Amino acid sequence: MTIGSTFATVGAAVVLGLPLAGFLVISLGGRRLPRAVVRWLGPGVVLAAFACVLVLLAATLLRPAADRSVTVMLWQWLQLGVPKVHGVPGALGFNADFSVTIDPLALVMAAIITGVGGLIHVYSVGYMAEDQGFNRFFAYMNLFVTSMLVLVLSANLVFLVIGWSMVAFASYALIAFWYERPTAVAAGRKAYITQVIGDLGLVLAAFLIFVSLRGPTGALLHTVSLPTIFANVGPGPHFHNGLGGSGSGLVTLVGVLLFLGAAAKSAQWPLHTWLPDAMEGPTPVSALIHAATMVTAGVYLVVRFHPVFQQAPIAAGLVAVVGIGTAWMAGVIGCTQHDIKRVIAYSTMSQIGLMIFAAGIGAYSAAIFHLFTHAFFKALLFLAAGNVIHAVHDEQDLRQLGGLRRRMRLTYPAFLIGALALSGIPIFAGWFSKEELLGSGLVLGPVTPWLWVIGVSINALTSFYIFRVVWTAFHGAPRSEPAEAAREAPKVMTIPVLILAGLATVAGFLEVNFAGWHPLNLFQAFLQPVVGVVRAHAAAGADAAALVAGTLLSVFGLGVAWLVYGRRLIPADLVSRRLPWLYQLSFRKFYWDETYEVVFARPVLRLAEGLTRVVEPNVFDGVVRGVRDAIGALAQDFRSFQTGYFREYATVFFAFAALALLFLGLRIA
Amino acid sequence: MSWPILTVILFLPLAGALVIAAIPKERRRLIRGVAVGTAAAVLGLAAVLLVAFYALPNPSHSRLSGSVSGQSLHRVVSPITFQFQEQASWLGSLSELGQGPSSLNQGNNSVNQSIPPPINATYHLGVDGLAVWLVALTGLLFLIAAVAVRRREGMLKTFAILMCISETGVLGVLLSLDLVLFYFFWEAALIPLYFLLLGFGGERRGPAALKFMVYTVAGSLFMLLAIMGAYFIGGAQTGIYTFDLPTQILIQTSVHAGHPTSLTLFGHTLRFLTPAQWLFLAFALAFAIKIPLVPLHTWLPDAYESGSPPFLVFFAGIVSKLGAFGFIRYCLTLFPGPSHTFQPVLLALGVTSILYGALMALRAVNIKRMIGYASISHLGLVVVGIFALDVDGLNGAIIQMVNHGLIIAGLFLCAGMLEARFHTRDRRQLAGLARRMPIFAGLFLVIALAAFGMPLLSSFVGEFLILLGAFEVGPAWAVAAGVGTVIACWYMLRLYQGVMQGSERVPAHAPAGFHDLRRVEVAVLAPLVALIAVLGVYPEPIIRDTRFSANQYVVSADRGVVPTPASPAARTVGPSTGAPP
Repeated sequence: MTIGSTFATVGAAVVLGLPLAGFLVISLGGRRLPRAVVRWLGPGVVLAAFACVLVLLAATLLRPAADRSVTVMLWQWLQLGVPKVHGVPGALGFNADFSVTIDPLALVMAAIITGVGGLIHVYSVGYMAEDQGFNRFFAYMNLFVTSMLVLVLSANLVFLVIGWSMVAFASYALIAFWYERPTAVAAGRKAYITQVIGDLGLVLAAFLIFVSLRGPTGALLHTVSLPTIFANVGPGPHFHNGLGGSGSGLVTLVGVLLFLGAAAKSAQWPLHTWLPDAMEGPTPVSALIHAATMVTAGVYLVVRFHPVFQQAPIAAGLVAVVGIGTAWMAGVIGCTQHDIKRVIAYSTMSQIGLMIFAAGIGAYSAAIFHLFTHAFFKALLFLAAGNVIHAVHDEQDLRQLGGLRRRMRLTYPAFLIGALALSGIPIFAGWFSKEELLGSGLVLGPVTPWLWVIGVSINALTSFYIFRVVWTAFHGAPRSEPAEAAREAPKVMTIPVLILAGLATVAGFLEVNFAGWHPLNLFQAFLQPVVGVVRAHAAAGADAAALVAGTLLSVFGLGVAWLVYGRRLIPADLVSRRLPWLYQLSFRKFYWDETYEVVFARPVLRLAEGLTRVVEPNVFDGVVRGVRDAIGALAQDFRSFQTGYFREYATVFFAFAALALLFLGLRIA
Repeated sequence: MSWPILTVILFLPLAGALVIAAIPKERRRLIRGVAVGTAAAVLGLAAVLLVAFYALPNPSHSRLSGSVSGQSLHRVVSPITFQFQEQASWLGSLSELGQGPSSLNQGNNSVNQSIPPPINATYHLGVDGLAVWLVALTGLLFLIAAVAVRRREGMLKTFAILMCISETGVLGVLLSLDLVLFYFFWEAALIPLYFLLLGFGGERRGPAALKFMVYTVAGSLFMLLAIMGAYFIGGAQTGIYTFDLPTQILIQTSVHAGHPTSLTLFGHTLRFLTPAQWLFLAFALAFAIKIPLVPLHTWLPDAYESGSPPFLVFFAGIVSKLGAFGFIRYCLTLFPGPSHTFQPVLLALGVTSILYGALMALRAVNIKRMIGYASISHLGLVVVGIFALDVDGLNGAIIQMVNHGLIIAGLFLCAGMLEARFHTRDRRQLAGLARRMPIFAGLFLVIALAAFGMPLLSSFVGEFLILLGAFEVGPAWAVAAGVGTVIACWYMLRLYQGVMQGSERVPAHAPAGFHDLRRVEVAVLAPLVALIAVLGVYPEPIIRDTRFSANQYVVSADRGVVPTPASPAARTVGPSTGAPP
């Protein structure tokens, strides 16, 4: 007994309650609430929640490693358990409490959500200052933070689903925030429908677990409590334990369904197409939702459910392969996009793919560490890009930028730090996390050498496309009038960017142990009670080789970008001239949008069209009409059926009733 | 409750109708006032009933188990616990009925059939967890409809009278515990609804009203036959000729299932259904038309398209629930065996309705038609929940009936508000209204989100439980129903976004200039939205009431699969002792 459960209860309630209160006050206050209040309230509640998370974190760190997880119930929400037989407590029926788990994994996620989220809220005060919907924006942002916290703190599958869907709604509302733009509206809808498909996967996985999870005695547990699920899913004394034993079809199906949910949230193939379109939302939204928090929820889910995935090697392998494949595909696409935010969006998809890959092969701590550093440098890149977009009056096309280096003396170094961290250039945060991730890929996974080769090649792609942005946007001469007239952003926007830049530089030193150079290994040790120890570092030599190779490839990509866009020694249209199909494939985003349009959207609409035009009038209504016409034709007297007089119906009614009585009476007699 | 609250609730609207009938039709303010007052009084009483029901001691210790006297071990208790029962002689006398249940186990076959049976139909009312919330919903929706009627409305007096009569009809269906009484109210509700549809609303209302009438009367006729059938078959085998529902539930489970109907053609004997199955199908037909289930649905889009918004609030909100109510109250209890036999059929019809309704809604451009198809889709889900025949599914179905009433009423009110402003029902003619109608946009958004099961709004719990129940029957049912949710998200978002978002567009023929909601419009919409939110965040009150009844209905239906006719007492006492922990 250490952090008393009361302490944890209060802490969790405050962390969740603050952003929720912010949402309620701002949304119910509506337009009457003065902006001066919202400006302080919106970011204030999130930062206060962050402070509270830090207190919880400190309290957790003060305890021995084995005792760092506490689950408390906040609210008995649903209780449907009805005993079937007298005296025997019923298993049938469905009980869902709102319980929260405070453990290292949840705390890391909550710290990212409230910390990075708080900075982004502060930034938004400047970015959205001119916007009509200032209050609405902060209401949705606070709702999003609340939902995300519900998702990561919940110790209950049902509340995980609830948080999961609330995040989807908040994300929809923020993507379609500028609802007068048709593209934003369409993007919001696409994102939401994709999320609902993912939700369905998660819900079905929850059902499967609820219906078929068995306890130590082999009896069905009928539980949705995450700790109970994780405790029982592994091998146990009874032969029916868990979800049918390691590698069984059932547990594999659960894993695949869980991953369907994760793929929708984390924009992984095949549910990835919504993320680039989501860039229609305001840039702080992209930083908060599409870099630091929501898209990482899929990684969190896979890591949180690692006891399930450890029992389902096939599902885990699928996760790894899809992750690495998506990472590679997004990297290729990122090289040819012209919209500055879309390039960063594809880089997000690519980096999340790497995390998913790591989670799939079992390097959970590495995945979360990359998630952690990625939150800093990707939010940094988005916010710095937001400064650029703000400065050039909503221009996002790289071809219209240029020369901003001299005009934005704070934003430029910040973006550069973000780019270096993303590329994995040594000493920046991304280098530590990505190399650890790829290194564990080499020693862990099932077909690791090949996946590792793909993964490490992504390094080159990554540094190439992000430095393409650096050189085209910030170097050279301005290519448009707004770029010529650009000015640095106000302090409220630059300060959060600079803080993030600092974090993106130093955060990696939390995990200085890869390749066995240094005994200090804070982050992994902190997560170890939740995700266990990675069976890594078996071959330190291979690890070191991987590190060198990965770093060299990152530098190689940077160098190529420099040669192409900085020195212009290699013509930029080399690929589009020599390999037009490859360029088109990348530029058209591998044609997934078109494919889905042809394979899903259009057939469904066609089917609906066919039902409306053919089936409804001719079959269903046709039968009715046919009956009516037949009656009409049968006898002129029966025409009165169609006059609508009630007495006719009454007559028929009583006639039939009499007949029925007669008939039944006769039969029985 | 020492005073007959159910009777008061039941006949209060009728009294209101009589009062309104006495008022000259020029005094519109007064007429509207009486209508609103009556509806408010009914809602108030329904709320009292709800609170009283909630405050009842744990149902297992209620007066019903107290009535089991020591000397009769064979005394059979109704598997469904009805509260606040009231009973009076009507077409038959009460004394005959008293001996009904106890004589059930004594010499069933020694009945002299030459004596013509008395018509044992009594005035018997009662509520359970299923009905009590639907009564409250009825009260709420009729009040909202009464407030939503504009004073300028043509033929206000007629509308008000018919509305009050139909409220009594609907309440009668929900409250009656006698088959004849039930049938009486079922038909009685039909008449005012028909005239409301015929007299008020859009241009094609005549044919729509006729179609509705023919459909429902056709369905009701078969149900009447089935009621007669149950009466005679049960009576012939047990000697108890009664229309009393609790007694009839016991009778129907103890009677011999009967032999399949056979038909001899050219020397071959074809065997079809047993009498119980025929009866089940007749009831099911009436209920399926009322809900409606595809393929019996074609009256609905026409009726919903041409109905006036206040009418649709209760027509779509509560009348469509009567079918689902009937399935639970009559099919599951009277015909447990056939309920299980036809479970796959009804699940298939439910899933078909979900998907078909969703696809039709996806294609529809007329807002009201679209909501109609969405309603078919949602009620298909309710039927799936009912015929999952387990506690989760049925509980979800009951909750979802209430939620759907709130949501569909809200959607039709929204559609009506748009139509009143822009004189169009075509969603393509409207766009970008959110900027100038922010309050409407906010309320509409909540309702639209609730329509596809957004968590922490009311329908999530219901949908989740229904899908869980369906999943336990067969994962494929849940997957198919879940796909319907995805399509629901698609069409609802498209409706909301199309109308509210994008750049502003209104039809050319609309009156120039439009305004956000007036105060009375907020007053009708806001309570619905508030309830949707409250029941979503805190579903405990409704679940506490419904879960016990849901369990009883499931146990009642389960009698159909375990053939233990020797000890009906053991099987039926079970549920009333099985209390929530």
